[in-house]
Amino acid sequence: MRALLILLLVVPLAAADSGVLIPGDRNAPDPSVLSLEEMSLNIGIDNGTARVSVREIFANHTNRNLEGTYSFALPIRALLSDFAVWDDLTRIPGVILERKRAEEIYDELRRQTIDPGLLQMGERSAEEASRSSEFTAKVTPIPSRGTKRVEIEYNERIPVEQLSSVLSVPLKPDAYQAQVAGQLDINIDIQSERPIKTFEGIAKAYPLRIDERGQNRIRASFSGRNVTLAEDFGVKYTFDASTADSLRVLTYRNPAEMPPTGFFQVSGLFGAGNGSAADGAAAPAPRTVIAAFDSSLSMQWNKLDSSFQAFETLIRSLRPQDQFNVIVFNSDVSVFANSVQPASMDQVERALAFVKQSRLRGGTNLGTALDRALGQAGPNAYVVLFTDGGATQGAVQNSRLFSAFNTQWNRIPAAQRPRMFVFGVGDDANLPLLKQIGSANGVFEWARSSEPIDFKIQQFIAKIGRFPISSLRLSVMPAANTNMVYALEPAVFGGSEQVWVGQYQNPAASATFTATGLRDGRNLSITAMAPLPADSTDHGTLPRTWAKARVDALLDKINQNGEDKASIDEIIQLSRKYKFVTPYTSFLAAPRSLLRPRLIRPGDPVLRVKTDPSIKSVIAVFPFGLVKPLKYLKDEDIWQTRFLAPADLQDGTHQVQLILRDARGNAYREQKSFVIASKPPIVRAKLDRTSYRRGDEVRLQVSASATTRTIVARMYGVAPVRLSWNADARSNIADFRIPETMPAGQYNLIVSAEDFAHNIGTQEVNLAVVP
Amino acid sequence: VRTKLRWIVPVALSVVTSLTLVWIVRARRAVEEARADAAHSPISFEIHPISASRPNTVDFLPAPPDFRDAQVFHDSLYIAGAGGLWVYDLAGNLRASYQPGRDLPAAPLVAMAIGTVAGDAEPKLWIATSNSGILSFDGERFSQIRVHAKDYGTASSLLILPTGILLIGFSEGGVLRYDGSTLAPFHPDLRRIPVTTLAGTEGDLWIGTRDRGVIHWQAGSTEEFQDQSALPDNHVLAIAAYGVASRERVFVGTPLGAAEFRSGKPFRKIAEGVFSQSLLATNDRLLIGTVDEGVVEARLSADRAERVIPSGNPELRSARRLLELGGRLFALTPDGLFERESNAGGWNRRIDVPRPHWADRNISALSVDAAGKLWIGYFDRGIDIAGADGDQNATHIEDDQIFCVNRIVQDSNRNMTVVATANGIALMSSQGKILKRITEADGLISQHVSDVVVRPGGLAVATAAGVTLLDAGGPESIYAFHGLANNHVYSLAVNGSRLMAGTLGGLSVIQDGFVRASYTASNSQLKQNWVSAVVPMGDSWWIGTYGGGVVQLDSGGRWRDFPDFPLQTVINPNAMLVVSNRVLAGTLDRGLFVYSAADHRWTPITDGLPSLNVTALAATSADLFVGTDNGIVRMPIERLPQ
Repeated sequence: MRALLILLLVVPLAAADSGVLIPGDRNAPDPSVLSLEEMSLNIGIDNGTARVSVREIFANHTNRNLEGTYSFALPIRALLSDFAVWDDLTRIPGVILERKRAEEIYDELRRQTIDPGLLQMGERSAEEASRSSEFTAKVTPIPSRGTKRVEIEYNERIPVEQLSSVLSVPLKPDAYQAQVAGQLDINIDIQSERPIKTFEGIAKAYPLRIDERGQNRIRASFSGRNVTLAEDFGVKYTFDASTADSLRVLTYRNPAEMPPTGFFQVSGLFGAGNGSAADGAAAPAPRTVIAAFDSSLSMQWNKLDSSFQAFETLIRSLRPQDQFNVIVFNSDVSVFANSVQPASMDQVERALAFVKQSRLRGGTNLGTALDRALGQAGPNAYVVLFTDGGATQGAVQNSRLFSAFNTQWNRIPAAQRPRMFVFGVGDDANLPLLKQIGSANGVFEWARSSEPIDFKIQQFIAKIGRFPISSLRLSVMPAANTNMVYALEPAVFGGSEQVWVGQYQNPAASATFTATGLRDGRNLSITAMAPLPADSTDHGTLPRTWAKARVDALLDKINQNGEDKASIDEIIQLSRKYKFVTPYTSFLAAPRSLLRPRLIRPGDPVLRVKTDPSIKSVIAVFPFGLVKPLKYLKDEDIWQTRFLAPADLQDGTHQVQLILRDARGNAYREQKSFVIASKPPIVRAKLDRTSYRRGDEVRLQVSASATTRTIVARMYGVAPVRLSWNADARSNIADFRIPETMPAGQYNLIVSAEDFAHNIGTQEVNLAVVP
Repeated sequence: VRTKLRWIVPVALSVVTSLTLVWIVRARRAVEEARADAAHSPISFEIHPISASRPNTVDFLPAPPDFRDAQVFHDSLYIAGAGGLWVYDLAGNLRASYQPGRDLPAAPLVAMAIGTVAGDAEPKLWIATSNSGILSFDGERFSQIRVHAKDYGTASSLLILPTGILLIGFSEGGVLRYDGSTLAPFHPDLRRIPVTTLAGTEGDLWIGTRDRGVIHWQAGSTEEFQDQSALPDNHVLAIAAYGVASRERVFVGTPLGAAEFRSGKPFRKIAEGVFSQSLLATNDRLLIGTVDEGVVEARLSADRAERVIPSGNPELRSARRLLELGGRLFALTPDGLFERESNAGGWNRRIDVPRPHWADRNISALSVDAAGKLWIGYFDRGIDIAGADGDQNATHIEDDQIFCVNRIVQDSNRNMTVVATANGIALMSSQGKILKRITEADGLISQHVSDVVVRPGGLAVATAAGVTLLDAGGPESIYAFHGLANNHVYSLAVNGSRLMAGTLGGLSVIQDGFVRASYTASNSQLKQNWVSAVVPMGDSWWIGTYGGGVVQLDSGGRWRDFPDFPLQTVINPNAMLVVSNRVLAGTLDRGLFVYSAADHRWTPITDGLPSLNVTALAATSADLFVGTDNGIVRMPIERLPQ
């Protein structure tokens, strides 16, 4: 009976648990076994490109050699560039290999009972996410009473939005709440051609000491002992508006390379303007927002939740003078109202209920949904699309679907033509198509299935009603000396930065870079002159940034036109040369370390195991003594069984041991964890008081069961609020403000906690809003 | 030399005798200490004879025996299994059988031992059951010892010491000793350990555990051996001693091979990688019974144990016990006994069970079709379609989809049977032909289907991720996002246009495809949010919960609970049925409950059930079929409480 509640999760349980090393026989870090003795974080930001190096030393406090699982959550924009473990005095780095070759080696090592692991994009097994921001590494051996050193490095581009840049380095383990570093050293070095106006550390747990404060360089550091990693490390820095509307040029060329290739990066920071389309009118015009919401079966779970969160935020952000309509689509397309409706509170609530009541259907008729959305367009209209982009009905090929959309969009008179805002969701989102749709005078944003998306939603919604700088292009003179120039941002709004990267063939004393576009209906032209030097090695990350942009362009081409050998070969070559993972390459750490993307994903309440083809028998040994052979399902190429957990088995994480035997009689032992979650989370919510005035800040404090994954508070007239763990308060906390326009009265605040098994526990709290 | 020998021999003898005496004294002292300690913490138990009268209204339908252990007692071979106890003469002829629920308590038998416990004049057969304590059998009558202690788990192994002590290994509670009058922990060091098997003698005891390797208890002290140093794995499945001087050579079987101990110390690992669930050391060979490779042999004389896989009988896959009887070697499998050929090394079946029989004992679904055929769904063995009279001409269907079965429902509108499984649903003809398979690829919100109900326009499917409505317009799904009390939907019931969905988090009312209301323990009289079964009777709904018994919801929205229903009773998923103005509810551990609308009372039924875990119900106009995790019984409806 209890089997029906059992979810198989991939080890480890946690999502986004950064820099933890979990003893092999445990489910969570245990500092009495393995403690984090030292951690150092070295961050260099070179004109918007961050290189983050993490070094951690763990101590084994037992009298036996241990095996551990190292876990680190990469930020979404991060590109892993290095991972290594030290075996005594030997550094064992990971290497980039062509995917097929990496898999051959991986399989061979597995046959030798060594588990090296892979980091790669694209699905390796049914249980592993296609793309995940978290990876784990098996680290072994960790010598008894000895230490183990682990190093990881990644690069990340830090965009400028509204003249601000924010860097966040994940340090706080999510599910494990916190770990303590015996010694923590953080050094950050920011170099910027553009003068930095303000700088602040935004992590209270790591107060920074400013070691150098110049206009173009800031160095800061933190050092502490026994530091609880209770929050992520982060810094924010801003640029003066007076530095806007200018271009900055960086170059890199190493004459020692044969043949030497020159790289340049041009950063254009654009002034805010007034964000209007044409005439610069100050008062925001009424908007017409058509929200198209995907409720096809592929959207279930996190994708639907994320989409709805974004949709709800959008709808609740509408002003009374705005108009809106909602289209829900799957294999059918249904419309909230026959025509656009005023954004009254009543209509907003009805629209939310309309989406909530839409049932999931198998197909996705994206083409028809877009047609219907475009048909609703009017002056100052926005079509906001929430989808994973996986069309299965009507036109399904990207090229045909986009062509049909584009024809329809262009058929609309220019003044009535809606701007396309696309919020893509899911690890498997159809990014090429969604990017294309978002390029129709709009914005594209993408959120993976598991990432917190509040910030992204806010940025996304804030752009509705504002216009990007259109027709933004970079030209270089002399043109013949440069090639393969790529813009890194799909759309740029006032106050933001566009970055172009390209190559130059020959050094030149001077080149002219000109960015042109249309801002607020007026022509924009910014020019800079800079040399293209023969020897310029200060900006070492530039070639890698360019290579990544080149690979992205090749992948776009493959998505549009299909695979061709030349493109694939070039992707592999660039990936290996500049060391980052692509769909055609893998990061293989062998023989002693393991890199493997993991993502929490509830599975079926049966035990399903995918194995190498050489495996001929799989037997599960359950923690309560049951021994069950698994049945091989040929069509699915998977082993399966199910089991009855004893009624007295406690809720929580348990281990099942798998004995795998190959055709030669070799036996392998692997462990999987499963969670018995038979009870919804228990929620206890507390407000700091029971009565609030408009504009007051509300502090909500919620305690919930340990298995809780997310906690969201909802209240009429307020965008959904996600709560996060606060180590000091030892509780989940959120602060939100009562809107100034909120009518006085009694309101229900509904707090919902969802666990890993999607069990939902709720509690309602009453509060009064007084005038 | 002779003079020297005159001195040396007596001195040596005296030293050996002294050492032996010291060892015996220490061993006795240790036993006495253990006894003294145990005497301080006796465990309450009751012992009573088992009635020889049999329930005469219950028919036991055929199921495989699922043999677990064998012993020779009173010149007969006794084989114990989930299906009961079988007695064979030594020529292999069946002489008697005893079934759970009919002759024995309603529980599978798991292990046996033979010996004379203090206070008994003669040896008895001692039998451990999975959840009904220990049975003793003197050749004519059974007695039952029920332990009144929580948290001990189930009895996993028995060992009778020469001193008349019965040791009982528990899956959670360690080792208990029973001396004929007192039941107590054997030794403080052996409490609260998950015991899998016991072997050895009073002063030299070996305890296999589920996750702590093997524990050697000798002369009052324990030594623990785990996979770091001594074993291929910490989960010990079997222990065997070699020869009379069993202290010298002991073999320990684990899922990843066996290990040899000499003089109480790890000596070597043997047959690494072989799943060693049973062991027998004999004639310089270690026989290893595996789960799926038959019997593997290893030669013991070589310094490095040589592994041999015999050509073997393909019927002999899982060897649960290995026995040496009169110099002949036997292997017990779930469905028979095999003897090893002395020369060729092959294995021949010596004891079979009556065939054909149904595929499994673990029933998860039952249904009777319009033609009166009984459809039996198994927990993980597919389905059988058989005559409702229990005839054995069953059609067995088992494939990659029809494997883990949860529910079987007759769709009389379309004249077909719907089989819900952990891998989707299958629509089948009355002959058992698969007409269509429906999976996630066809629009189910999840592969794992817990329940199905037939609606006028199609089907409603309960899954671990929500409800999918299948009708002519194609599949549509709803889950917690749309207002369902929880994504995990266990049970569905339909009455007119209303669809009730029992979920992990409460009961949701669905009408026209929309969730109209949800009831939980906080806004209704549900005592538990987890709704495991729902059935309509008249214009009311009967709702079974996991741990909160049954409640009733009438058409006016009024709730009613039942004081005569035991508190905290677990109703198994979809184990409810309405038949002849009665509501039936199958429970996890309390048998079957029958509610009579005539006198508004619940009556428990346990007599005649092969297990108190009632998992499925179905009925014809005359008979009720009760499925359990240990077989099926049939009883006349007219004999149910009226």
